[in-house]
Amino acid sequence: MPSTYRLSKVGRKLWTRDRARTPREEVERLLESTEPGGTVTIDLRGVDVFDFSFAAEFFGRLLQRLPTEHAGRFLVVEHIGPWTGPNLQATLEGLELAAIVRDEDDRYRLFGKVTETDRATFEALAARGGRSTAAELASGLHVNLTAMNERLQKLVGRGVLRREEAPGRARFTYHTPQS
Amino acid sequence: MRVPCVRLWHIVRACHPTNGVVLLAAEPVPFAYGSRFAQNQMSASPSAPEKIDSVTFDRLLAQQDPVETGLFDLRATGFIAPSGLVNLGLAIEASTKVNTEVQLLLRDDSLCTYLARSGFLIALPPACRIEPEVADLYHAYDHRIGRSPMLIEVTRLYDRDALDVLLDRTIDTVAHVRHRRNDALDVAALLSELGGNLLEHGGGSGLLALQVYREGSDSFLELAIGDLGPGIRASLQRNPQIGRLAGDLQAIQHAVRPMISGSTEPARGSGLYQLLRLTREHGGSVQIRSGAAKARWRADRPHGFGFDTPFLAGTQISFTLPGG
Repeated sequence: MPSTYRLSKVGRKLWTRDRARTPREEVERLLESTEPGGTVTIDLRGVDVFDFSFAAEFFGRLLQRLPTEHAGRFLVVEHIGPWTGPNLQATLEGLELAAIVRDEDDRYRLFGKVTETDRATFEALAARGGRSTAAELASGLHVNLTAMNERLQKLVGRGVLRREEAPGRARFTYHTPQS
Repeated sequence: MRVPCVRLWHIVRACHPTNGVVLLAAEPVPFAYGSRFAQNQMSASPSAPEKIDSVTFDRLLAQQDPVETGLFDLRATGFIAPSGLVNLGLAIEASTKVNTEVQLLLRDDSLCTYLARSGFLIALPPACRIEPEVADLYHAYDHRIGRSPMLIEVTRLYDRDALDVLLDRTIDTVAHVRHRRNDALDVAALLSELGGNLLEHGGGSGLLALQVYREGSDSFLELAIGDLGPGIRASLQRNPQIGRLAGDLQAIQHAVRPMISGSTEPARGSGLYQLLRLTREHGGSVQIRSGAAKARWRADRPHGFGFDTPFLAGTQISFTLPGG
């Protein structure tokens, strides 16, 4: 069962780095209590705006720590608004980080510093129900297997995909939050 | 047209011996700077500028050396922009630290009235003596403070709560010139960054002013914020990962790049980078002044320009945005 953190409980206008520390620590605790494969969702409904320092301290530090401190867990952002989206995008680009965003139509996509290759790989996996092997994706995207493995490893390293070893088989499956 | 980017600094001093103009070579992020000469801003003038703003303020410092002498002669001045108000207020405050009394000479009643209405006089330290006598004006406009939709009076920023109040007022004020709510929130986000920097790096206290101007069908706003803290170079040098910075201008140049901070904590150092990025997106201009240098960027030009300036402690930043 995914956990949801409503950021609006901190306020509608979220200014400064200091204000981000407590909510960030609360989300860290949620991630720690989440099983591998689980998701913590940040709900931005009701948040009018945050400045770049808040975004860097909250989203930036969470996403930086995600692949190492909370490997195998997902952090998803939803209900991005017209006034939170641009600042979040700018902050993540500046920090060279990527985040998973869920749209109103339940579609998952990448946000932040993302190449077209990253985006295409993630979306292809999402289109397959969020679960696939490297070979299946390579075939679908007409990419050789070695290159596809490199793409997927990179996304796992950025914390936006999870890799799971298939029991009894010498291969891995890759997952997005929807799986 | 973008100037091709190069990775080396080229510092060239103009021939004029009193000209402190420094050229900025091209730098890849966030702007490409051209190796163009900027106009000499340091030429001597017998009297204070008619208008004091972010450009002419340094002319005043160069001509009169008022921080050292304690005498600010503005009898030739008829108007002071928000950037001039903040910079002047800080210069007077700096002067009171080295002089037992500081004199501010003003031209006439209309300027005195403007300075009272803008909150400038109330923000001055007690050691500053003003001529002509303006004792009544200190209180004449108290009832108007915080009520104008077109300006935020010169305000001392000293803690987060004060910053929060200013941010709410900023959103309301900017909405008078930028009609998309997003724009007002963008300006507030920028002010939040600059105010946060001031409180954390700028000695914990500073001045701020904002005004909306209308000229016929055109409108624009100017916001200025500044402190007398250690300055950008000293702040950045606290981070051992940043190499030695040769001067204030190099420090400013460094500071506007992403992820450059005096702190070694992760995810720091994007405020000034975002200031330049957003201002450019909105078609505005930015000036960052720190110590003995300043740099200016305009959205309609691919080049930034750097200048030597007379020394004033701390950091003073101003930006303008056109109406829209």
